[in-house]
Formats: sequence, structure tokens, C-alpha cells
Amino acid sequence: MNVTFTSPVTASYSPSPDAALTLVDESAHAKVIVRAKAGTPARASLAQVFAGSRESAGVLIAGTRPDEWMLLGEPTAVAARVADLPMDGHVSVVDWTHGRAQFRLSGAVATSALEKVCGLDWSNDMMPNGAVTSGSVAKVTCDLIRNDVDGTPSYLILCDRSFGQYLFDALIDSGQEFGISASA
Amino acid sequence: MLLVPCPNCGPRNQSDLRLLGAAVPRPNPNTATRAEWGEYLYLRENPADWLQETWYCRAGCRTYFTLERHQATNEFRNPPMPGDKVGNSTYTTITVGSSGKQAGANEGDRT
Amino acid sequence: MSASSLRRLPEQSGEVIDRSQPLKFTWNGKTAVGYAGDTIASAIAAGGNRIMSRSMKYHRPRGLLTADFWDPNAFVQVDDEPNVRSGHRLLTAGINVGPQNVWPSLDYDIKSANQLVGRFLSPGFYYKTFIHPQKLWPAYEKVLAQFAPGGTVDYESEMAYFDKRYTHPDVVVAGGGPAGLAAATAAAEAGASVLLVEHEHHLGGHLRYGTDADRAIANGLEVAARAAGVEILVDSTVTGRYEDNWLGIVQRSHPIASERLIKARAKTLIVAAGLIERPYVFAGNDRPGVLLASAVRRLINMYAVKPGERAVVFTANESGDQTVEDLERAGVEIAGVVDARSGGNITGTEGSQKAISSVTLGNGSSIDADLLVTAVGWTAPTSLLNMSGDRPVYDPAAARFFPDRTPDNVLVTGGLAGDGSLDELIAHGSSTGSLAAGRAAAVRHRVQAATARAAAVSGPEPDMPSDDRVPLARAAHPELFRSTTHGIVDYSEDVGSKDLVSATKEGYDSVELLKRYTTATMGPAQGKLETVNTVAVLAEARGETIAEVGTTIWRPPYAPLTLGALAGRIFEPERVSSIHPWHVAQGAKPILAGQWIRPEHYGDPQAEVTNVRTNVGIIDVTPLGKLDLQGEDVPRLLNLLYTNKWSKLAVGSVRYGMMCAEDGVVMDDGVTGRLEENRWLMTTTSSGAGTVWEWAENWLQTAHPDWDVHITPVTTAYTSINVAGPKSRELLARLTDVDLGADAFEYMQVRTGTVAGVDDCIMWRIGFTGELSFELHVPAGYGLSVWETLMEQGADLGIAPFGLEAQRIMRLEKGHFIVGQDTDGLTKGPTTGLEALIKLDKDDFVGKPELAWSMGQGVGDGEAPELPVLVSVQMTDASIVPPEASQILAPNTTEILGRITSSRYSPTLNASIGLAQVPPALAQSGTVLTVLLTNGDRTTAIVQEHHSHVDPEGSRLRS
Ligand SMILES: [Zn+2]
Repeated sequence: MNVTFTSPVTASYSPSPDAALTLVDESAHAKVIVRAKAGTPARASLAQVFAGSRESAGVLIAGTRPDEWMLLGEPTAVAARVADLPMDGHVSVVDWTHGRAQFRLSGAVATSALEKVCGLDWSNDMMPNGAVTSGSVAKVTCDLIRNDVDGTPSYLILCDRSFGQYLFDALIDSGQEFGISASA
Repeated sequence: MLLVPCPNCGPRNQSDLRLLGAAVPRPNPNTATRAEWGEYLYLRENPADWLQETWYCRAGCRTYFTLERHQATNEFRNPPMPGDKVGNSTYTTITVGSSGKQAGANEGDRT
Repeated sequence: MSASSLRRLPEQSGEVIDRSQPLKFTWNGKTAVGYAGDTIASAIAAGGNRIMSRSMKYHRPRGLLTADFWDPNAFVQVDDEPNVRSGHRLLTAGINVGPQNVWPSLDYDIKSANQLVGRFLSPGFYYKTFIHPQKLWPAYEKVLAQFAPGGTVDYESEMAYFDKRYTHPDVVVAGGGPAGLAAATAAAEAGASVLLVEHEHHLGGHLRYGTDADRAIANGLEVAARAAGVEILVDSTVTGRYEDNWLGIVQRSHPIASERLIKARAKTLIVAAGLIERPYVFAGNDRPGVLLASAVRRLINMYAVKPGERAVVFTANESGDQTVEDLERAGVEIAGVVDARSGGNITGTEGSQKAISSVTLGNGSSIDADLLVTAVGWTAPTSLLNMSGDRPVYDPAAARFFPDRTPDNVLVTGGLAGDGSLDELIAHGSSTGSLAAGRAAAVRHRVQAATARAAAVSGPEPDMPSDDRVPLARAAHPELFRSTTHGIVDYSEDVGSKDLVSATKEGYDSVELLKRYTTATMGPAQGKLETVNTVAVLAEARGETIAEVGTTIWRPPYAPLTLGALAGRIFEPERVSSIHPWHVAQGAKPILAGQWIRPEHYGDPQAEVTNVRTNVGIIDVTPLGKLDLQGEDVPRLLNLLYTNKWSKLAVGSVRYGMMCAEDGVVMDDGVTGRLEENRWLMTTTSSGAGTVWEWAENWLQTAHPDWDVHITPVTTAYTSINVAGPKSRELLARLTDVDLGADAFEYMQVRTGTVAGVDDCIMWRIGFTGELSFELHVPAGYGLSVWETLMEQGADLGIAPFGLEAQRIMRLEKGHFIVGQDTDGLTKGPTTGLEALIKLDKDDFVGKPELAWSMGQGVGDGEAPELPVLVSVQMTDASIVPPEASQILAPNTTEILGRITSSRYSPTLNASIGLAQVPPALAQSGTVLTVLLTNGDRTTAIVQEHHSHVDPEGSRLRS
């Protein structure tokens, strides 16, 4: 049977190559939530402290809560990482690939755009590369990960899939004064 | 906008959290009298003093935790927070003294 | 004197206008010209116009008083924008500027007849005169509205774009005068991130309209601040200070927005707001031609406007003395200098309504003049300190208020803190900036250390620096508030000292009462000009000192801002399912349910019902709340949250549950299925999804942290589709390998499998509609794909989509209640008729004691309360569908006994059906209820035997 994946962002956008900011819809990437109680081997295997993140074998492992991790990346890489996870003890895995919209906002002035829609302190000291938190962006609760690309500030913003189109447009609006190129 | 010290997220804007009010113990549901249960449901102390309250870090780490907040000055203790304080010039005794908030001083007004 | 005595001077060394850029505009219907850099007011004044407006109550002609933001007499209409502060707003080309409070014209104003009947407009006049009789209020309002002050609102105006931003600087400096600039520079040089906010267009404060040497110093300070990396906002105001230095800043100078509201969290706030010159109260003090010294200096030195031809200067300070020099240099004849320091005084002005012609002195003599300049002292704008909890204290020797105690994260410098030479002010600013940076660093260290995501801090927490600044001295100044005559105190509210005295005599003799009764200090000047004079007049009337009377508490905002700025960018999140584009393409009528945009119907909801009852229909129920529950202790959690029992639910089975709060009130309901031994899926109502999640987490985290349960919200991880109707099995069988046989997949069971080529789908056999139906939860990215396949594959079976309305009709035909619709904030569990699901033999569950009492089985001897009963009803007249919430009355009375909670016309039964909450006495089958309709008519409804109007045995959904 003919099966097609639909992104939460269904409107179309024409990218402008010279813009100071880029916003990319990465909703098709795999996203898996792992919850693991203290003392479980899964926790040791993930080896990532809360509020930080790191890349490992093509998977971004983000400590989203004290007992929760998000595994992000290409579906095969994420699936392989999940398969490796020891499941002893109170450990649970939920595939959130379809549950979350995922956007990447990049550019030297990305924090200036985020400051217009989010009350968190985005300064380098408070949100260094790798930092993970969650907060309200344009009134939608999002997971927020700083994940710089080649030294350029870059942020992953994940929200409930149903808010995806709304949030994507709110971010474009916020980036308008700096120049923003969106692609979905 | 108060800064609330979430044990996981650090200081967060009050709007990121939900205040559930004083942390009240739940009576035994199998032996509680109507009076006891009614007190648990509806009666709350409102002291001009320290009060243990439950917060929910709604937009942050989604953790419930309790904090002591002074009901008259809005200061937090355990953990102490860098916040408003009047008096001698150190923050280290931040948990003592007034927050500099006086009744009405922060209310919106037409004038 | 003629109005043309005002005019543009030759080039002044400190002027801020650009003579190479003339700007044409319209003032009062005539073409006028100003320059770039002019304020609207300075351009109008340079054109020889002395009258700017008329006052709001008495419509007296008014001219410039302060020639800056606070000028109470310079409100104008600019194009479609009313109440523009012309003393502040910069001139732009082509604008149409008109005066306000004038009818029919600036020169001749009919309402100025109010002046003749001024006694009728004494304080409290409106209250006293128009309060009775109340029924005449609409008529009064119409007349009074004609006299309401302000400009004209154009309802056709386009929406302006307002912007918003958050920022977290170490130090915010409110005020860009010499002390503020020095403080900002010192803080930035000490490593702090600094935001400096200046109310005016230019930095330097009073130096900007001072001597060339003053300006050189201001420029040097500005250059240093910029070099130190201070972020500088001009034409911007810190409007409010709240807990923990949460600041509201309005930026009027933003390039892309009309106004931008900045919400700043400053680690330290430096208040360097300077001082505001105070008017003097005497007879005729509001006649055009009476100006403050600072206004005159601004007009001459910044805008090159000659303020008059022949001046009397009443001076009590150096600023007044300098004004004399400025006037002389501008070619204004000095007709007299009256020095308050050697006992001089002025008592009044003479002249026409439109201009003064002479000034009367304290000794009775008079001097001809067209300009009277007063320099009688300063008001300390302590607003931000008040908002920090400070109660400033009056110092009679210096004739102004000074800060008392501020929190450690609020520091004061500049004129608010004291006086001194310019060098001393700058030095105080610098040491304040260093102190602020030191305190901010300590706070930053602590915040960073307390925040897991933040970069690691190195070293121990820095000590909080103590305040060892050298305090500024206070310069002596004579106390000058009111002369021996009465005059205007509040120009923007048209309140005079005589009004204040009479209000005091009437008993309004506390400062807060007086303010509210007379409205003095409540106008757009926000008390900056008139508060101290008001207090002084009150003190005089009470025979007390100013310190004894005290002052009003200054509250936000520091300066008025538009509602647009407060609203900022408006965020209204909306949610859609993955099928939304299809609904839109099909022309579905959208309905907003919470934040969700859902199809209400696709054209004909009645036909949609009939199609489900005869063929097969599909509905997008994605908003249905879904929680993934994993762990060994899930049954314990379910036993706690629901009123019924869960431990024995088999894998592959589904159970309905009702949740009540601790007060026994129904809070949510839904079905929960056991997918695997330790994995469950809970569904909640669409509106309750978020609440139930928080509720479950709350019980888990605070009451039972030892239980092994992980809760993950998966509401939008799945697209939920209900496939309903007698042909639903036939349709689905074409798309899945799951055995759908009636025996293999029974009613109230759950299966997982592949549907329409999509793996990991969840399928429930449940039925809100009362028909054979399957609820599919499809990984959301494939939801649209599955929906389209269903439509395609079901074409020959007569498939049609149905919307929320058809679903509501069918659930009502089936007698299912909706939490929040058929229940309310007082509806306890048993009212719904589901007592059988309230298992009082469980050890514990939420709300157990309340539910036990409500069922007469609780601890103690209290009687069970008489709870309402939810019943099904049919109207005796099928053509009448009473609106929801229609009252049920006792026959022939107006006594309310209950209400219709849901009502619809049933296309299946051709009947008008509903649910109702009634007292137990009216709950028996066959009871005739009296229903009040909105037009006042009464009709009747009959209580039904079963909740379900259609197929009460449930044979269809079990088929
Ligand atoms: Zn938190």
C-alpha cells in the first residue's frame, strides 16, 4: 500500500540563500524518549547528565529531565542505539518521532530571534553549546537544545506535532527583521 | 514576575511554573472525618510568614517540588535565591529581611 | 504681544535640528515647515504659534510649559493618532497635526464657556451632580461624552505592528544623563552586560541644553559608553520595576515596530532618572507665555526657538540664572529677574486668555512681559524606587524627596541621589556602575551555579560588594510651591490649588483620597509635574509639613504607554491534526475546540449521522488525550486515579473509567487499554488531556514516588481516526491483517498491528457513537495517508467523513455524557449514573471519602446529600430543541429545579432528545419536566427509562 509521511509543516516556503538566519524543518528525524530509573544499566549506557547533550554514533543524546533522555537522529542510527540499550529495571522507551515537530534555527543572530519569542536567558553562559532545557516559545512548550554547527549557533526546537505549523510560522515572523530563510 | 528556584532548571520565571498552594498532608481516606477532609480540601493558612508550597515546573522539567516562600515578602529559602532584599549590603543573608515588596507597590494602577 | 514673537533663531551651537532637511507638515489646517530633529512642538513654536491646545476641563488656551515628554499642554492629534506628546514626538514630513480639546476651533472654543461656570466643575462635581437618579445615567453619559478630553479615535486605522523582546542584562541603567552614562560605562568596563535606557532622544540629560562645555562632557560620556559596549536605547522608558528586577521597557524608537515592549530581567538596576523641574502655583500660571526654565533652555539651545521678546525670570537656583544668560544670548530682553533667594516672589500674570502681558510681583508692582520663566526647584521622579519598595523621604532643606532604602539590587545615582558638581555626579555614577557590576557578577555566579544547563562556574561565589560609595551632598534650595495666590496645580487634569483646598475641607484630606477625588496627579503627566505641589498645598491646608503629609505611591507605568505596546506581538497557538489539510481541501466547516481547529461538519451533519448508522463513516479524533503508561505499578496508579478497579484487566482488553477529584467532582473520563503486561494506553477527553497528565504526574511524584510508572503524553504522536458504522469491519478487513472477527476481536478489546501499510497502529473496539466501530491510532506522520486510503477503499461501501457535530448527535442518541458539558464543577460521581463504577471496597482512590459520603457509606453519621441525577429526556414536541442550559422549572412557578445539559435533534429517531440534571424526585422514567425556553415559553420533556435513546441493549456496537 502507498504510504507517505506528512510533516507537521505543510505550507511551502522558498528559501533565500543570503539570509542571516535559516530555519529548517527536521520533523522527519527519529526522536525516541528513554526513561530510566536511578541505578538502571540503561542510565549508565546513555552516560549523559541532565541538561546536557552530546553526539554519539550519529545520535544526539540529550538529557531532557533528570530521568529522561531524548535520542535524535536518522531513523536507522537511532534504532540501532535503542536496540543496544539494556532494558533491565524500570526503563521505558517511547518512539516520539511522530509526536514532535523538530526545527533547527541557525545563524549568528539566532539568539536575537529567540529572545523575541522566549523569556529564557539565551546568553552563552546560560545556554552554552550542548545545553538542553525546555521552555515556552511563542506560548508553546518546547524542548530546546543548543547544537552548534561548525561554530555557528544553532538550536533544535521541538514541540508537540500539532503546534508545528503555528510555531514554524511564529519563528519565521520572529526572524523577519534579521532576514530568515525557511525550508520545509 | 517572580523568579522561582526550580531544583532542576534553576531560577525560572513564575509563568513557567504552576503554584499549587500550601503543601497539605492528605488525611487517611479510610478514617478521615468530614471535618478533617473538609479542612484538607478547603482550609488553608495564609500567614504573613514562611509557608511550604508545592510548585509544578510546567514549562520546564515537569517536576513537582516544594519550597518555602515568605508570604509577605516573596523570598524563597531552601534553596536561597538571589532576589530582592533591603538592608545591609550582602546577598548572603538573602533569606533574611524584606524583599522590598510592599503592599500595593507592584499592583497596576491608573496613575 | 503678538503670537509671532516666537520664531527660529540663527544657528545655535548645541542645536539638534538639521537645517539642511526642512520638513513640511500641516498644523491646525495650515502648511508649516520645521527641520529634521525638531519635535512637533518645537516646529510649531518656531512657526510663531503660542497656543498648542486647550485644557481638558475648562478648555483654556494653553501654550508650552516644559517643552518635553511631560508637557501637559502639548497633546495633539497626528493624522489618525490622538494624544501625541508633541513636546517629545519628532517631526516627520507630511504629517497632519491638529490641536485637541477644541471645538469648533483652537482660537474660538465653545466649551471654554466652562470657565465661566467653573464652580460647577469643582472637584467631585460629576459624582455629586450626576449620580442620582441612576436611571438618567445614559442621558448624562451622552452629554458628558461631548466634554470628554482627548483626541479622535479613527476606527478605520490599520493595525500597527508591535514587537516584543526579552533580555537578561547584568545591569540596566534607567536614565542617560551624566551619572547614568558614567554608571553604564563603569559597569561595562567591569565586565557587566549593560543596557542603558534613555527617555529622551538624546543622551546627556540636562547637559544637552547647557553650555558648550556641558555638551562636550556629555559627548565624551556617550563616546565612552559606546566604546565600553553598552547597549543604548534612546526614546525608550523603563516603565515598571517588579519582583526580582523584572523590568518593563518600552522602546519607541524601534525601526520596524510602532513600539516594542522589552521585558528585562536585570541583575542590578541603576536608577538615574534625574530631576524634573517643578512648576510654580500662582494666579494665571497656565497662561501661554509662562514656561519653566528648562523648557526655555531646551527651546533656545536645542531647537533654536526664541521663546519671547521680553522676559521676567523668577529664579531660585543656578538653572534659573543660566536661563537669564541663554535668554540674553537669544536676544530676548530681560525685563526683570526676581530672585527667590533674596525674598522675591511673583503672585500673578495679567493678559488675555492667549498670552501674558505683564507679571505681578510679590511687592505688588508689575512688569510688562510676554514671557515669564520660573525656576523654583525640582521633583525627584522616584517612581522606580517606589516600585522597588522604597518610600522616599522629604528633605525640607533641599525642598525635594530623596530615596530611603532600596533593595540591594537597585542602586540610585545622579540627581535622585543628591547634588554636587558635575565631576562629583559623574564620580558617583562611576562608583555606582562598579558596585552594580560587582553585585551583578555575584548574582550571575549564583544563578549559573544553580542552573544545570549553564556553563560551569569557576571558583567560589564572589563576595557581594558592599556599598562604600561617597554619598552625594544635598544642595540647599528654598521651598517654593505655591505663591500667595491660587493657580493651576495639575495642568493635564485642570485642577487648581483652590480645588485642592476645598476638597481638603470636605474631608478628603489624605493624599491618596485627595488624589482620587480631585484626579490631581492622575493625568498623563503621571504626577511628574504636580505631585509635590499637590502634597504641598494639602500640607498647607492641613497646617502640617510635607514630610508629615507624605506622598502618593508611584506605581507603574513610569510613563504612559500604548495598549498596543503592552499587548506586543500576540501569540495565539493553534493546533491541527495531520489530516487538517484534507479537511480544509474538503471545505469542512472549522470549529475551534480549545486550541484545536477541528471539522464541525462537511456540509450536512444530519446526513453524516445517517450515513454512519447505515454505512460507514470516519472522524478525525486526534485531539483525544493519550498517555503512554509503562511500568509495573501502572495498575496501582490507575486504581488510584479512576474510581473503578484495574488490576485484573487482561492484556488486549480495554476498560472505561471515570476520574473524580478529591472533592468527588467528576474531572475526566475515558478508556484505558492494556497493550502489554507493563504497557498501557490511557485516553482522556480532548479538553482534559493536559490536565490529566499533570494530575497523574502530581499523584505519582508527590504521593507515590516509589511506584514504577513512566507517563509520556502521546496525544499528537498518533493521528486518531474512528471508523464507525455497520460496514466498518468490512472496510478495515481490506486494510489490515489483524483478525477483526467478532469473536477474535471483541467489544472493549485492543489490538496492535499494521493498517493500510502502516506498522505500529493501535486499534480499539469501542464505540462512542453506539455503532460497531474501531478507533485507530496511527503514527501521526502517516495519519493523512491512512485517512486517504480509508476514503478510497471505502468508496463502494458508502464511506463519508463526519465531523464533531454528527459525533455529538450520535453520542447523545447513545446517552453518553460529556465531562464539562453534562457535568459541571459541582457534579459528583454518582450523578452520572455510574455508581457501579465507584468501588468503595478499594483501599484508596482519589475522592474516595467524598464519594462514600455522597453514596451514604462514608465514615461518620452524616446523611448523604441529595445529589442531582443525570437523566435522558425527549421533548414532547419533537420540533422544539431547547437550547443547552435551558432551565427545568417546577410547574407554574419560577423555581429552578434543574437544567437541560445537552440537546439535539436526532435524525435517527426523528425526535428532540437531550440529557438533563434533575433532582432525584424527578428522575423516574416517565416524569414530565417543565422546560423554560429563551422566549419565555414553556414546554415539556419526558424522562426516559435508559440513558441511551438508540439501541439501549448495545447490540449494534457488540455486533
Ligand atoms: Zn524545572
